[in-house]
Amino acid sequence: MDVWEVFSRRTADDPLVHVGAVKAPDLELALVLARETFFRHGEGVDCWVGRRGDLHRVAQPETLGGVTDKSYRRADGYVGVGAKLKRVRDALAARGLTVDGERPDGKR
Amino acid sequence: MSDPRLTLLLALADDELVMGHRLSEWTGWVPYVEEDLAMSSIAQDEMGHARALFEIAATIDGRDVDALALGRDADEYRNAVICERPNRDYAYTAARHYLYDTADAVRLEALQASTFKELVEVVGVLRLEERYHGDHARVWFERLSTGPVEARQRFAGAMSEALPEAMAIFEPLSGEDALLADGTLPRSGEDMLATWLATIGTDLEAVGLDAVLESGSEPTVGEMVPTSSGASELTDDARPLRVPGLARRDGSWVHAGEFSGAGGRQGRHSDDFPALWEEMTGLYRAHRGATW
Repeated sequence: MDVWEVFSRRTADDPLVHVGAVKAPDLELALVLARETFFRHGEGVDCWVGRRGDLHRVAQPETLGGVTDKSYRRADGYVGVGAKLKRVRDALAARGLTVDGERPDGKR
Repeated sequence: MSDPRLTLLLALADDELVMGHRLSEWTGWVPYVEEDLAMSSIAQDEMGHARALFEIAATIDGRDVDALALGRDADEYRNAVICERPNRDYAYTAARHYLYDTADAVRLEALQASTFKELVEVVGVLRLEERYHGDHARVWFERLSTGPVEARQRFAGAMSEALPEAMAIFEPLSGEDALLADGTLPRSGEDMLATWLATIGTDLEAVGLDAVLESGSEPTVGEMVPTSSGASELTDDARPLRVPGLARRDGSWVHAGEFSGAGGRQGRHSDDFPALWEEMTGLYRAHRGATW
């Protein structure tokens, strides 16, 4: 018999999370059984099932996000840029210069 | 550049740097956003790999990583010409991606057995990320080679054009004998070329594209570059690189003949390189030492 993974949304605003699995011979029964196995006390407002064999794990999950320095991808890589820009702008302003060129019009 | 280890490191690092630069040009232009992110990440990975290799090179050369990556003259770069070729369409990009990453995998696997400890350490890390690049390249190889007729035709055409230049990834390095003698380079370029050809030969045959190997008939890599004196000398160093021919023997693809002339590993680049170099190094040359 197939194993079906069960996913739930606790409230309408929550993301879908894995809550467990049920055994069932077909989709129809999986949906019926998941409902009573995991939601008897109103644990969620939404329920999905998927056959375990249709779910696949990515290769090498331990390298997700990369193994070399990727700090530039994080927002904290930009910490201080605004302050630096202000310092440069002020320093140039003291000499009567401006770094504010024309802004792009937002279209490419 | 007397230390042959530096020659090896710059060949490896420049390949990754220039490949990363080219792939980054796809950012924002790939046909759909998930693939755009994947390709952009691969471009960033290649830059990161270049950085890790330049860090070792810096300990030998004395210049810092930025100066090595962005502060050299165009003819000091040692990347293979295939890395600098424009992206053209996605068929060419995918064909080159497959050829480059399969070749890089052979090279990195060999280097894992190097006597150069610092390099072995870095290679171990790079291979973890390169495995994903290989998976990604292979997925597109399978899609395009078996896909609708137009995809297959464009992919086969791109593969034929890219193949001779991809072979030049294994162009002998100057000082290769010394690198082999002390075990820095566990296998010669030509030895690695044989392994790589057998691999891609099997892959191409599996999808019925072995005609690509038979038509690998344009063996000259790059254009004739005038020498600084303006003379068209006919010494070996002045001739464009010629790659070995290909033959099928005992059920697998092998190369026949040798490399001659000089290509990317001697700093002899194609007409596509100066524009890439201008763009890649322009900011560094205008503002040396700038940080952000």
